[in-house]
Amino acid sequence: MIRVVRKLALVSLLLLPLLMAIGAEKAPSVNVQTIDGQTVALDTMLIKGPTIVDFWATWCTPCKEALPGLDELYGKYKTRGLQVFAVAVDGPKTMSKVQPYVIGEGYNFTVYLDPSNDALKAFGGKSVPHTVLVNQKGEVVYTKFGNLPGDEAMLEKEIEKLLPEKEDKK
Amino acid sequence: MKNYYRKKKTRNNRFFAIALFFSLTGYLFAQSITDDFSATGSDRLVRAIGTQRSLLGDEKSQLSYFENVFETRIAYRTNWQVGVRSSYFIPSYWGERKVGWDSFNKYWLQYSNDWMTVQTGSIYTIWGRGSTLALQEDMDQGLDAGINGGMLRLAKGAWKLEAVDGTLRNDPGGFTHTNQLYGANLEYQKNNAQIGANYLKIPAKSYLDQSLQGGYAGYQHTINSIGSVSGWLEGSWQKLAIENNIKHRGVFGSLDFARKGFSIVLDYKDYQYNEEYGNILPFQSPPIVQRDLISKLMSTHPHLIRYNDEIGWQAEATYRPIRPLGFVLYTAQSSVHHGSPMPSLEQKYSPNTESMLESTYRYSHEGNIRVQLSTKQEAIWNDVAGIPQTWSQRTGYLLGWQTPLIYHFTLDAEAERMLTHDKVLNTDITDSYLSGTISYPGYGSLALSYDRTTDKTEPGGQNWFSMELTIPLKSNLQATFFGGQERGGIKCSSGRCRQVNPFEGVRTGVEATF
Repeated sequence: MIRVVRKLALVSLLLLPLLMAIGAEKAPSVNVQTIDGQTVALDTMLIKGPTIVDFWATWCTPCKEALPGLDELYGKYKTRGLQVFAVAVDGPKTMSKVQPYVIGEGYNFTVYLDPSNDALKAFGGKSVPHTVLVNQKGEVVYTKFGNLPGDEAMLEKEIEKLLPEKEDKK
Repeated sequence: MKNYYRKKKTRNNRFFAIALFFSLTGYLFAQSITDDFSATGSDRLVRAIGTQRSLLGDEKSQLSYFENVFETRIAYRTNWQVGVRSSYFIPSYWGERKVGWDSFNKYWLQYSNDWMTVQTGSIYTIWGRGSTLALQEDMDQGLDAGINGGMLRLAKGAWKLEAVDGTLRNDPGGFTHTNQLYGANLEYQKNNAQIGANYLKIPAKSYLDQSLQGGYAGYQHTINSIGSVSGWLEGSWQKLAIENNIKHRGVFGSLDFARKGFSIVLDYKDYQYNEEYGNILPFQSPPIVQRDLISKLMSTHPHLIRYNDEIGWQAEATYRPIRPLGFVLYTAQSSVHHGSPMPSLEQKYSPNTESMLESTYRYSHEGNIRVQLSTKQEAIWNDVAGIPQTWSQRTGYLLGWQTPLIYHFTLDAEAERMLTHDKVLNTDITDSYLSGTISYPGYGSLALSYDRTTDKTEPGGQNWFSMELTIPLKSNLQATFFGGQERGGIKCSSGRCRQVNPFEGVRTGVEATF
């Protein structure tokens, strides 16, 4: 009997994420740090969105390859309300490289720090790059594991769905 | 005694089932009843079957593992949060076995408001840059430096106080240590300046009875027309109860300047911490002041930080003269102490030097060319024999090309060669690595890689071939399939390294977030 219960519990556990992957969920309430060390609640800023939350690190090559595309998306859609938060998961050993890298590359999106990876884990990420798109209700509507060429085009389609229609030129 | 354990096991199983039932019911109830609740989570399942070879000798053994890591956190409004993680291992890649109630190894309850956070259960936090305390986790490395205990964080104006108390369980080098620790960090932050001071006590259990005291200061200044300058200085002092004076300490400093198109970071380290079980305390993570990753091949032989005796520096500069073209120049040096604050290049001080120049030209959205040149030289001195124990020189060349193909397909190809000259044995080894990835947005990617060495002493052969298929089933659900051979070696993260055995077989994984 115990074995049956254990097996059922295990199967439930394994199927649970697949079932839960069906619907959109609220973004978790987590704190991140600004570059100058201030603590901010990420979820309170997400409702101004739509928002791309991209977890990256200075030691992660695929992450850095994705950043120019995100910056372009931000430049293209920021006037229509898009926010881009690039959350660096660099730990103590590389944290000092985050700000110089972002300034040096001339990126305009907002950068936060998540040195203990708490925000990354809260968004369901176990490795970087990990990107989520959050709608204006604070719900995660799109998740992307890793980075492949052309991914930003997929992301752009999802952003278009969330943004208000462009005003007709009169 | 047997009956006692049987009863305990039965109770655990019941508890496991009941806990699961209530968590599911609670979650569904919360979802349907009110918007005040929110739940997020993730699951990663990995199943692998194959053989592995030991790094010492050429022994082949069966390797079969199954890992399922499920984590969920449920929040009530923005104040309350409860989380649980199940790590179901039969066994894990690292050989750890966790089933039933034991698999629920992480759980926490947190209450927070504008000025206070209280958390109990599994705690992760970092003070400054981690010289005194860095409760971190790296699941890929199988390293966990978190504690089970409590944390209180108070914030009022420019002041922030954080206190922790708990027990650490980790597995450095295959041993399991249980450590109690408690301490506090006080931080003051105003006008881009930050200072902090901390104290941590580790009563004798598995480690020596000791305390750590630390402090840090950081400042950032931006002048719009010139650029941004920031600096960080951090130190910590380790006092062992069995010693009268403080003999162990570490200092880390960092200075950087950045403006659009250019940045430079200079880091410095001076470490003389006490080492037990061949390492510093597992919940300390001072900056390593070198790169973990230079390239695939160059990173297979990393310099292992001697936290008990090491000085060194690193400099990394980026330059982007025009938007599509970028350069990275990196160099680092370290040695053991020798009476000067800068590292020595003399063999008897076991020097390590490494440099890298990298350039990327991005000619279109999906197209870029990457070139990298790197060198690394390291000697480990043997005091008894009066000669270097090892002395190697490595040179690496890398060429990468990413280009769009027809119908939105993209190809990313990379070729790397590393030449190693062993100055003690007077031998030369050539390592080569080729990889190609074809991807289609939204439908996944197929990666093929080939790794080759001329080193006949390398365990697991001289050739490794593998393929990996990644398929996004939904935006938040991804499957991966791996088949082939994986080279063994040292894998490092946060300055902690583990030996990875060569693997040959198949591995499949599913990752989901919800």
